[in-house]
Amino acid sequence: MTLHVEPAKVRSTAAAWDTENLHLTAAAKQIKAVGTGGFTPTVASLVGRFVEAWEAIATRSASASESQADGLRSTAIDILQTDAKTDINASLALSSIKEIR
Amino acid sequence: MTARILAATAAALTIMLAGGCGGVSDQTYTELEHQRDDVLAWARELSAVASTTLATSPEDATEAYDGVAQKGTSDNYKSYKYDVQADFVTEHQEPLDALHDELEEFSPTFSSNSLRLSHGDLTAFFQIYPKGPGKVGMFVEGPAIEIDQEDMSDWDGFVVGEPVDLA
Amino acid sequence: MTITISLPPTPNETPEFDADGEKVQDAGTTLRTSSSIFDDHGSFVGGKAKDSGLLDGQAAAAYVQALSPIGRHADACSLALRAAANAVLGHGDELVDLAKRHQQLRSDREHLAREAAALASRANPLPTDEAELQRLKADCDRCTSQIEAYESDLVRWTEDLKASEDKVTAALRGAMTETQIDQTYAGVADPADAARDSMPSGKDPKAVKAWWDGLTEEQRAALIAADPEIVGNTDGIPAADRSAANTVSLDRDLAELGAIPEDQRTDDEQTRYDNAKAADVARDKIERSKDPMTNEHYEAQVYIYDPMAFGGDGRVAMAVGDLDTARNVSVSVPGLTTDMESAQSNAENVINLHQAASFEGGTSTATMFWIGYDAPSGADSAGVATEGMAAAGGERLADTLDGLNAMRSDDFHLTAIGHSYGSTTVAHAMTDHHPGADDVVLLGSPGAGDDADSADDLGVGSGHVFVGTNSEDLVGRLGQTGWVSPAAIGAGVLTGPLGGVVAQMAGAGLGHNPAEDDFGAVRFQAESTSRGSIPNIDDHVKYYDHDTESLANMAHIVNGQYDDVVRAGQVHDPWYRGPVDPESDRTPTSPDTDGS
Repeated sequence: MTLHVEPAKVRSTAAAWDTENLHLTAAAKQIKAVGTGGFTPTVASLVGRFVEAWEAIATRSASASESQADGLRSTAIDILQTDAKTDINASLALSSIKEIR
Repeated sequence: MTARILAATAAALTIMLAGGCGGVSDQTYTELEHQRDDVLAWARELSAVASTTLATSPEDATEAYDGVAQKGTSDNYKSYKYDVQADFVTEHQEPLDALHDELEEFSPTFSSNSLRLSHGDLTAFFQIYPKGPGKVGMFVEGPAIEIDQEDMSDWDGFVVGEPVDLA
Repeated sequence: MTITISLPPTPNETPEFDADGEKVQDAGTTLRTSSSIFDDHGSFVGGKAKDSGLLDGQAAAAYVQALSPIGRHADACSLALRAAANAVLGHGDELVDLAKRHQQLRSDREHLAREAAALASRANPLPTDEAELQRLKADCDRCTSQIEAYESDLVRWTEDLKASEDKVTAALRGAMTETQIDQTYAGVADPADAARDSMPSGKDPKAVKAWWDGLTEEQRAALIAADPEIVGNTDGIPAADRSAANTVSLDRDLAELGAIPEDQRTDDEQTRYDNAKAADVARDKIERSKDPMTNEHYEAQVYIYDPMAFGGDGRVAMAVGDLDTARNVSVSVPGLTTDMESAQSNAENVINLHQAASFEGGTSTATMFWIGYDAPSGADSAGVATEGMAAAGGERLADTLDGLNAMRSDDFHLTAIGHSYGSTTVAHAMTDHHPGADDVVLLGSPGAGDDADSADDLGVGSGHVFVGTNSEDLVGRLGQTGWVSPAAIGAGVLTGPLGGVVAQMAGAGLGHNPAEDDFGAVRFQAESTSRGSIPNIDDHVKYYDHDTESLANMAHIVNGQYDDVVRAGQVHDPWYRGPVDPESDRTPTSPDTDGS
């Protein structure tokens, strides 16, 4: 039997999604730190709302990346569990699919 | 000549042996923090005197740990000092003379554009700027403390150019 | 005869204006960096993310299908945030200009109000003398006309402020919700793509400059955000644009890698983060420093930022001042043990040089440190004993100097400065590649490279090759000198006072000692008041220190003040004994280089 998953690749792509989560979380933090102090009062309040909106957008994108990472791992685990019924290698591979970041 | 050759050999050997260092003791970080407190306290005192004497208040005050120029065989710093700098915008015509009179206790001495002061192992100077009339700069700093650049950049207390309150 | 005198009106108050354009520019810079994180995210989703490792057909197809909207949204977010960032950056620039105009208006208004009041006093009581009345009328008319001009400037200023506010407001309002973002930007081609595709394939900086000049402002802004690694490190692109791009890369590295817990960073991530932090400290150090004559804070330009170059040693070049416009530009090349983590001490060197140049009368200067080659450092230190790394570095340096010349259309004064092994690198750049530098400075030089038999070989004229060597600088004594020849050492003939062991360890065999009389360069005074009594390494690292002979003389060279460079006696090497340095008997001086 052949496995229906390349465990090493799943692990690295899921880890890459986790990294995207961290990067986008960093973007959210960066955006949140944008000050409105230098703007004229006419513009400052809009900038404040813009910053709030984009912090949320970046945070949602970060969460979506984390979901992708978790989803990919979970799909791989489901497939490997099925494979494990007929292939001992699948049982061994199962333990390698875990979150590292 | 022989002595010079031996000395040169020793110096060259030093080049090869320098570098590499172990961990940093908590003592070093405590020393860095103490220096920050001491410099900041004196900077606030000097700032108060300058504010009164020059009828103004400090602007653009920042703090930093600065690498010390004596680098030995490496371009990486082996020691740091804490310093505070600030500006005073004043209409005073002779600001350094006025500060000199008010800061006698710190043994003031003049150099070309500045007034130098000392307080224990801390040093400070006020400086005027020939093409930037109306501004007096203040610099206050402590002595070098041995700490490797890498350890310094990993330390939570490491700051470069952060705003600081001199009130 | 009737003389009608109309007193000038009181000029309208200049409105309050406390916006800070520089802070707004900072806000725009941060938003642009964030947009580049979205851009990278879009590239990830459209690329590496597709390689899921799922081999089950149905699961793999479902996974890939789900990626499409995510990637599309990421790209849309990148374009939307970039557009907003550019609008904020533009608004910041306009606010800086408006602030200058506001200051002028306020000063004009004060002056005119005083003048109007003085004229009112002169008119009450009215003078009886007709000539005096005529003068009063003329003064009132002139003042009235100036007030009208002021009022007109004030109206224009108010309109310009409103227009700038309206523009940035519209840009921000257009990208407030994800629905808006997707409607406006999803599926829209990134202008960076076409611009990147049209980039010249070679590295001729003049062709690059022509290409860059031919792009639209929108394309240039797009490339800065989308391809900062390319824009930031390509010779021929103007320094301000390179710096904007490198700021995106640097700030993005700091944000992204700082967000990864230290114990989870890979070795490469840790290296990149360490190098980014070192560059950040150097940048902060420059921006915290001030001109000793004006008290103005310095601006830092990040001319090269490539933290993973040379196996993680990294490449970075940073300038104090504006490389695009400065009348005098210098490039400082460090030597031994240099890697990106030494950026802060190199920043200090060029800060000191800029301050000294200003103190000596320079009014338009940019001083850059250049860690742009694989200098012997750490485990590479064995490389110092050969010329190979200097020769390769010389080629890279020549590219940088050619790039500076290509990006400038005016005639500026360029000085290449090399310290230690960096002086051998500079010499190689000059002798092997002939870049357009006006002056060359070799500091604490272990040798000017095997390709240079004399100063003339450096191609700028021997009168423009300047050498600073402290008489007790151990490394400065290592150049190939008469019968004490490292070349001979290499051949196994170990003769002479320094002997083979010392020479090889400290990296001898790097060519002629440029401080020697038969090399024919101009040696300047570079002794230190703290000079040691025997050859030592401390005297090798003082050349950029404030209040030293060497820094004062370098400042004069950078400023083109050749008559003010204090000449030193050259090293003489008689056949019957070791080299004789007349400078070792002179009492060193400590010229003021910054007024403090």
